[in-house]
Amino acid sequence: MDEEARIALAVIYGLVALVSVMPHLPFVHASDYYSLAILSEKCRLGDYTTTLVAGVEYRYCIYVANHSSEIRVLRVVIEANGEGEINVTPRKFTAILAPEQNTTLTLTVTPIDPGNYTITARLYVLEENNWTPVNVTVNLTITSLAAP
Amino acid sequence: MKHARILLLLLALSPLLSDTLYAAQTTAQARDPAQVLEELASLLDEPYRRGYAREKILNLLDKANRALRDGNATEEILSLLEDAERIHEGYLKEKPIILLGEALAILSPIIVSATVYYGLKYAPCLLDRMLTRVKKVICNGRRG
Repeated sequence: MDEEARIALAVIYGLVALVSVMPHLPFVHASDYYSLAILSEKCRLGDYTTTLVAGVEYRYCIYVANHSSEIRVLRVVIEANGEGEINVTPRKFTAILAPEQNTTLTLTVTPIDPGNYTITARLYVLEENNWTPVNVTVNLTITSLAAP
Repeated sequence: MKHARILLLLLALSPLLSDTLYAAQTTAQARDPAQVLEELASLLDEPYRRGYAREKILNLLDKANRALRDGNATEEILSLLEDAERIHEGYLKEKPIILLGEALAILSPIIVSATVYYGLKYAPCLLDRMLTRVKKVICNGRRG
């Protein structure tokens, strides 16, 4: 085998070793973001009702995931605005998540009055003992009908 | 007489003991839950990233999340903080070995390349020499 072929094979095997080792190194991380979503009661994407009946309790699932390279303390704050009164619980919840870990929480929504409402979930991350807002916001627009 | 002395000693020490207990209790209550959570995250982050006791850390985080959902989180998380400190101490003891492993992993592409290059360069010659020797031994054996 000639010199060039030996060098080429050595480089190829070196690259294979590099690619296989890279994901296991603690300082190599491709992405650094967080996920937040409002899902159906069974935590399925898009499979939720947006037309509610006043006085009836509905459940949604809040999904939070940490895609950063560090263990993070995340907080979701829920706000509800609209044409009347609406009960939403809980108004905030906190979770401590490892990299690539996620959690879900049941959100209970009970519209008291008929009308249109927007439920907003905002994400905050704990940094140096301060809740820093992350640019991740999810809106759920619902319509509440009068009870028959 | 002996019991009376012990009783007197306890009575004398009681204000001091109650002060210490009160101080410990108020420190636990006064700590901001967010501060405790941040401390927990900072203690566990480096060991987790370097692959030390990942299962234990994930279990601990699960417990913390359950406590956060239940509402009375501060006391529970303070007890988890002690576990986290133990994990961190264990990690610090094993850190040199972990760092050595990482250094070897970083150098592995160079080690593999060099092994392939010199292996291809010298292995055929070495194999040839070995076969020649084996041949010689077999032929001498037959002659003998």
